[in-house]
Amino acid sequence: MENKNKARNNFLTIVAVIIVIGALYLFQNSSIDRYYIRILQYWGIYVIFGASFQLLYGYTGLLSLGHAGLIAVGSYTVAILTLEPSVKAISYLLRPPSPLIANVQIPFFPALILAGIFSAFFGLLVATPALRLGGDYLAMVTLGFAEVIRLLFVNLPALFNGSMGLRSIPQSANLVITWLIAILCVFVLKRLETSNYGRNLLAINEDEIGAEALGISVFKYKVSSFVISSFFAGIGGGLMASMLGTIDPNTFKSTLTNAAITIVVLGGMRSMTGVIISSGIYTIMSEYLRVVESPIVLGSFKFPGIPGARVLIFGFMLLFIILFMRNGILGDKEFSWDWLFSLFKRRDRKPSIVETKGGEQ
Amino acid sequence: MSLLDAKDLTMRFGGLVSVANFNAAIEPGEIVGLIGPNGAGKSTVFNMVCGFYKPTQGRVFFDGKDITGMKPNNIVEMGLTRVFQNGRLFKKMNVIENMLVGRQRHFKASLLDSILRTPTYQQNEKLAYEKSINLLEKLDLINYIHEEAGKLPFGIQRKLEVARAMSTKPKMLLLDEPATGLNVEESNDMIHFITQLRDEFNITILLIEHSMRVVMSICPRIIVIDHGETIAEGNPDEIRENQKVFEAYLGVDDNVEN
Ligand SMILES: Nc1ncnc2c1ncn2[C@@H]1O[C@H](COP(=O)(O)OP(=O)(O)OP(=O)(O)O)[C@@H](O)[C@H]1O
Ligand SMILES: [Mg+2]
Repeated sequence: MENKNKARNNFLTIVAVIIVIGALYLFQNSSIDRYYIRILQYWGIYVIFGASFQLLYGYTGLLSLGHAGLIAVGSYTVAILTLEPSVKAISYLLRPPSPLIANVQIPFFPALILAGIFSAFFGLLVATPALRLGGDYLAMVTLGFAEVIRLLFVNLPALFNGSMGLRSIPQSANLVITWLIAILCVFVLKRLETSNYGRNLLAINEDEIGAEALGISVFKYKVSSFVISSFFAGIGGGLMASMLGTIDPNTFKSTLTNAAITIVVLGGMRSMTGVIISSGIYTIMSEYLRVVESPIVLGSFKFPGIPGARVLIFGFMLLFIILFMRNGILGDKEFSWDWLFSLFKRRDRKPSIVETKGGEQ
Repeated sequence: MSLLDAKDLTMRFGGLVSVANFNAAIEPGEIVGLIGPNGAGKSTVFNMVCGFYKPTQGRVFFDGKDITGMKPNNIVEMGLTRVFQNGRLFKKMNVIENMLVGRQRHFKASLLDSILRTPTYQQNEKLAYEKSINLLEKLDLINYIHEEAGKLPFGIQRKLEVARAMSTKPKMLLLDEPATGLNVEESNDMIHFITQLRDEFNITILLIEHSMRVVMSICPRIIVIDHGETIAEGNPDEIRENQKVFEAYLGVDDNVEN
């Protein structure tokens, strides 16, 4: 009985994914304004930022303020590795490109994997000493890290072309590819979160000492969750570089970190469904709220735009959620087919874990 | 050979000597009581044995190996698990999840296994469930299996915490005041529970307990400390008649050792 449901649910999920991807494909090839395609693509990327941050913040309970730095590592990795050597030669104006990178060019997908790996490596580099000092230092250290990364980009022009940034990055990641990768990331992260690994992270989140006393190496779990989170941040960053085609150090200001935090808090600390919904809300809001930053003309009145007003609005939104909607939109609830069907059939049969396990024999 | 052998354990915090020259050799299968007035240093002994504090002096041997200075989680790996005085359940998790976290050290599947849900992962997860359910059944906690730990009656929470420690499959348990805060009925239940652990699992226990009634009814051997010093050791009758113990508990003379 349970097994039949499981097979049915998996089937429905696959069908749903195919439909979504198909729809995105049609969208991409339609004559619709590229602007909307861009928003949808941003959405997919923010899903990755949010989901990667959720593992760390919602599960392990660690607050990192350096997500933007890790995203930046991923972005620059993809940019540098996919840029054509001839383009590098003409666009590195401050210094000629270092021989390390001048003649390198690899295809997008290996570059994207390397983006994840480099970010994970930097994650390891930051998290290990910071977590040795104890959890409270992590926020500070990671905040510093994000700034240091930006300074490195500015001050190593032979590698990163300084504040001019990188242009003409091949735009290999279209809407469909972006969402396919986003779905894959969500899938992997969710699998981790619902395994013994995720369970142990939650235990650490609730009571570190209690977990340690049961034989769990709290330090290892913290570091590994940071590294995994960094990996996915790097993947998201790589996709972003490829979408934008142009990046510079200012692309990676703390706004990106704030976005990740807002998405997780708004969506629900442990709900992937929540993250997907809230990334959509965040992406659309941050586009349409541009209005408040540009001048508005109402009849004969002209209101000047307020630069930075969006940040202010998101700040208030975050405050509001924390004060009045503790669990965000979904808390730790997840969309499930069983739930959807139970809306139609009013007979409530809660599937229990033991039954599932028993049914497998 | 003793299972646990504490040699000259001393813990100093600045000028304060919490525990001085604590010695104990506990044989496999024994249940030993550790008692003493408030602030005597009992929990500090546990903290030194389990790696939460590094003793200022002395050594701890477990199962023939020197475990002094080892990290708490590695000490659990060796088969020594403690239960805290002020409960440390994962209150927002349900009962079975608490048990499953306790079983982690027997979980042999990599992260890749868990992402791909390989047969290895599934076998491990299935085994973990079966063993946990089995333990909950034996310990009469199975009815609470899906309840949120923090919402259970206090007496059940204390039991669950001991059960969770058992799911690490220890050779020895250190229990820090498992019956504190329980009413008479609950604490009788706890006495039965601990005796059951000894009888069914043949486990070695070092038990800190305030309630004389509980200690006297479970432990054939009792160690008494006061102000960090070991003042007596013996069977319940000897302890009952010991003048120093009597004075320590009445607080007649604080400097009885001198
Ligand atoms: N981390 C610490 N830092 C400073 N002093 C400590 C520390 N841990 C324990 N102490 C001190 O050591 C002494 C013994 O404390 P301990 O908790 O071991 O007593 P106890 O016998 O378990 O008492 P109780 O019955 O109240 O639980 C106390 O004076 C306590 O204040
Ligand atoms: Mg104590």
